[in-house]
Amino acid sequence: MTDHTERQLLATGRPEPPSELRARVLAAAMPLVRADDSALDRLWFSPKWRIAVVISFVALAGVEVVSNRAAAPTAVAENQPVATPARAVALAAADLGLSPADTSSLVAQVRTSSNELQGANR
Amino acid sequence: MTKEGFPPVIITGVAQPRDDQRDVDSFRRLVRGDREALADLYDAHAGALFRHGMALTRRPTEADDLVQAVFVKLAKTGAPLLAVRNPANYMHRILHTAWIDGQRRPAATRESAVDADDLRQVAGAAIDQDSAIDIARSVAELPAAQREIVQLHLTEGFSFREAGRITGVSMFTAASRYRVALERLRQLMGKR
Repeated sequence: MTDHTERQLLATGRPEPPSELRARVLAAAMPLVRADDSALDRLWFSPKWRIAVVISFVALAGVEVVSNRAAAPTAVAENQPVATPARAVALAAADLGLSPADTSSLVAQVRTSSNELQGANR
Repeated sequence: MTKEGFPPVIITGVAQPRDDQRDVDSFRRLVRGDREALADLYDAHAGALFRHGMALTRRPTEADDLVQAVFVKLAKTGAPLLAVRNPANYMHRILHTAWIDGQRRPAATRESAVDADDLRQVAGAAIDQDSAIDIARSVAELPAAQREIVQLHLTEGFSFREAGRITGVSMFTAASRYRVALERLRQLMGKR
């Protein structure tokens, strides 16, 4: 909406450039025009290309998030029981190649010492 | 160029609607080396650019130089023109920058009183020559930044957002400058 002042301003008329200016400007500017449209430039400065790059980045980020979610450890795995010291000792003894008798005596010792430790803590 | 060299051609009314797609096509042609594209751009925008230059400098010869600077810059720019989405805004921004650069030069003409011939050129063949000269004189008393916003927004039809981008200020600053300019003009025109 225009008020009185704005209407007055619009009514003052709009100056136009002098007719000679066109020839002067074009004479100065036209010789400077050169073809500069390599395929790489067309690609780099094209708005469509730039939008396509942004969309590609967003899509890649989306794929990354989805794939990370798929590869995350499941809740079931987290809820598995933690190995007890006796079980850990039994597995280590088996790896070392101890005989079943030695292994069971070692496990028995570990159980005894851990029971004593628990009793002392209470 | 002398003042006697060009009788002013005045058109009264609102700004012509801009055709961004046509201008984008002209920019593409220019990048391909088509010199006629420059002539098409001149025909479409020289008037608005000249008035913008007049609003800043208040002198036709300096406005001519600013218009020439815009087209020389366009001719030299090359491929980056392909990324321009609003050619009209872009060209007015070049003009604003050219004016700023000119102001930085030590020999640049600073704001000074305008003579009656210059005012007559601005007032032109309006409905009432005397009142038009009064209005032109009132406008000439505004600071350049306010004259520029009045010219871009009111006469050329740029939004405050566009005018802000052209002049390098925020939309709110542009709107504020316009409001202050109109308030000042009301006072000045009320006195005359």
